[in-house]
Amino acid sequence: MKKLLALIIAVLLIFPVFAGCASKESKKVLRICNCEDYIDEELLSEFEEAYECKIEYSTFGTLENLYNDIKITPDRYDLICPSDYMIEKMAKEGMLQKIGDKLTEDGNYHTYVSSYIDDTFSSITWNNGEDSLADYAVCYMWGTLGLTFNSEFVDEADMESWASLWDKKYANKSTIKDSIRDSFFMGAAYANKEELDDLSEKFNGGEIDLDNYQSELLRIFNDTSEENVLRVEEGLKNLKGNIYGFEVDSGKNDVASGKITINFAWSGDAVYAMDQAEEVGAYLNYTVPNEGSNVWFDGWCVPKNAKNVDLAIEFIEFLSDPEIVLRNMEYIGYTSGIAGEDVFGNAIDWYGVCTLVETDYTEDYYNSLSEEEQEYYELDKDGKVWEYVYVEDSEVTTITGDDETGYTANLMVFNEDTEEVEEEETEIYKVDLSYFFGEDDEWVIYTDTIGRQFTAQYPTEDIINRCVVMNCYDDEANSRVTLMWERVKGFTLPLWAIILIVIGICGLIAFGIIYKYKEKIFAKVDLSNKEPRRRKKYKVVKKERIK
Amino acid sequence: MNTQDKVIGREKLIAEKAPKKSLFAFSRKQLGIPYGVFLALFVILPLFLILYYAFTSKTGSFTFANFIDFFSNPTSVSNLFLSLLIAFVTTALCLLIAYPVAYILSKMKAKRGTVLLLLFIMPMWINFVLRALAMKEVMTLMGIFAKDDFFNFFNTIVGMVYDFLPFMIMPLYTTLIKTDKSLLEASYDLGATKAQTFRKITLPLSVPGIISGAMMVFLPSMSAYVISDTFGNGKITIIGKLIEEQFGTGANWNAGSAIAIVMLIVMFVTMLLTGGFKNETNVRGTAL
Repeated sequence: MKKLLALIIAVLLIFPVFAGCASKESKKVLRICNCEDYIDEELLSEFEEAYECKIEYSTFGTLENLYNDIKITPDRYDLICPSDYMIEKMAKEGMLQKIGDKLTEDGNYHTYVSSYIDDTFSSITWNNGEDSLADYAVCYMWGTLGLTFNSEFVDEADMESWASLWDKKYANKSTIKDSIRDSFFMGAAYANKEELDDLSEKFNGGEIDLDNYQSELLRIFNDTSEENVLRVEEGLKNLKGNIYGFEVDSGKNDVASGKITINFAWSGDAVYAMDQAEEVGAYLNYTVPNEGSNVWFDGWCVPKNAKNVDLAIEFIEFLSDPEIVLRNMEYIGYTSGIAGEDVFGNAIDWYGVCTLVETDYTEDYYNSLSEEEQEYYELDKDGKVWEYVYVEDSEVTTITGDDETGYTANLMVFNEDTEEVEEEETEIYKVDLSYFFGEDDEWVIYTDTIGRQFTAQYPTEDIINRCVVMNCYDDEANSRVTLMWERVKGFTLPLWAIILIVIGICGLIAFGIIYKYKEKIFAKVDLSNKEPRRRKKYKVVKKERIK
Repeated sequence: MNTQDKVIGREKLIAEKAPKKSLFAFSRKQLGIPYGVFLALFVILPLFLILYYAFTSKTGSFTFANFIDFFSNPTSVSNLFLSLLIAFVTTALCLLIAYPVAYILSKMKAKRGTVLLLLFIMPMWINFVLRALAMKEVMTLMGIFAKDDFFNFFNTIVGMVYDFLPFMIMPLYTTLIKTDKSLLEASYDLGATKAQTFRKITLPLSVPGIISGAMMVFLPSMSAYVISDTFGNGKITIIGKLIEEQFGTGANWNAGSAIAIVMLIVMFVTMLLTGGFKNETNVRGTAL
């Protein structure tokens, strides 16, 4: 007993030593928990250097894991990055603290954040409108839900509706998310297709305004009534037989490699899949079906019991610096909620259509450039160097057309075969991103491809008009949807199969018992057999002797 | 009581004999303390937590509702039986494949046998999620992937067998190699054929290995939902997946715990029936 006591005391003595180590550290510590692969980790060490602190970075697998973590140890992290509905749920349960008023007006975030993001965050309210998403969270990344598809094998017109997933034409060629909420959302779009189509027609015809349209969409997509859940269940059960499978992670690679042709995807994953596919020479598209879809937001939040709130706020401001935002966006492929000139300029760099303009550079100068720099120039057979310039900035190009007919531009294009620069009339698209970058100025990008990375990163305004957020379900709705999903994913064995399995199991158990106690059970039988056996053996021996 | 006294008596004897007690001279009891603490903290305590959650509602009041919900839901019960079926077929196939392998290995010369055994065991050194993904790609190349529901079921079984096979080979090999050779010789001397010797000597003596291997395959294959998700394309739901969903998006720890308890009971019954609690069958993973 004494020994045990000594051991306990020894263990207790060791603990304060560890605690002591932590407190002796002079640097401040910021503990961040983020989704996997959701930040350029170089930024973390840069922040550590600039602010003389230490970052303990960890990641979570699913939002529910993060929720469970915070629920059990509320002071575990200083900064977390959940999605919209989870922020609402955590805030409602008092797990987060308000940070909206802790960010200064002239800080990076408030200076550069998109007005669209700001408005949407303020419009998502609960607690009778007293609390809003803007009070608790700062937008990190955002995007839509849609379909990534390979237009080589898929009819593009079909992809304008979620119903294409149910189409026998694409049997065994599509995947959907093994994620209750996302797939329920899509199922709701299919189950309420007629109503949604009707609404969309009314909105496009000008019969109802945007606010009405959005609130109707919100109502339909977030309807978790028994009746609607049952209709969604029926749809999803039919879908199960028609798809290749359920996935959360493998779909983006499968669609890039050509194993499947349609992938129900988050916009950032779509960008990833398109980039991957290009490497093997395949071209994927991304679309948000016409019935309507989901727009989601991930935001930085500070748990109620966080220890280092000030440093967390500093980190948010650091991440909202446009220069950092661009590096981060390039690394992870999702779209930041930060707008501003720099980000817009970058979007033009990536997606704007370019034309060639003659320069005074010599051939020698061109040859002295690094390979990377040479990509901005072309050298024709006469030794003239041409530079790529964004169409709107070039004086040699004229853009004609209007919103009705579409736009065309006379572009100077390099012909690889003849090594000459030729004039070519090309159809281009005008994408107005004023809704995101701010309304006081014109924010238009001319691009030559639509429905690819650009659309996934910066959806056009009419896509945004038909997208709504997914609400946070209450407990009752949540269990209803979970049970529905269980019924969709599993299947009910017919009665005969259950009986067969039960008989099989009982048989096995019986066999096991008999085998175990066979000596006791067969004891009498053995006795009755003893004599004849002996006689037989005896006889055999006798015969041998005679021989 | 008696044996304990004996042990203590022996300890006293040792203590008296040794003039100075070395720093590392722990008694068996003392050495057991770390494991005891571990057991209490990470096995017993969580078990009680699961029990608590399983028998309470979300508000914390005592209830059987979680179990009633589970057994009154045809999908849940079907999932339970499907898991049992998958686990059973997997175990049977593993046994069919592993027994000849282990038998041949045990008959080989010591050195060659060990090397070959290592080849069979080596896959276990690689993360099983990786192995599953690789196997899935191979099967896709072979064109036997995901054509219909039967294929999803079939592929899940293949995946499970592929993954759990080493767990069956190991205990079988260790029991077979320990078989007393003189018994076999005696059997041959008495005129028994090879088949008879196998049936009367080798097989009965390897029963502990079979049981222990079966346990090591049957129990985990009921809950290894990563494999069913990968190979069944998410279309096969086994009971482990149900628990995961309840603790995940379902956010219903009580229902999840109840399913965990049901699974625990199934495992307990299997252990009881196959005599998994007996000491003599304790041969698993000796060489690991």
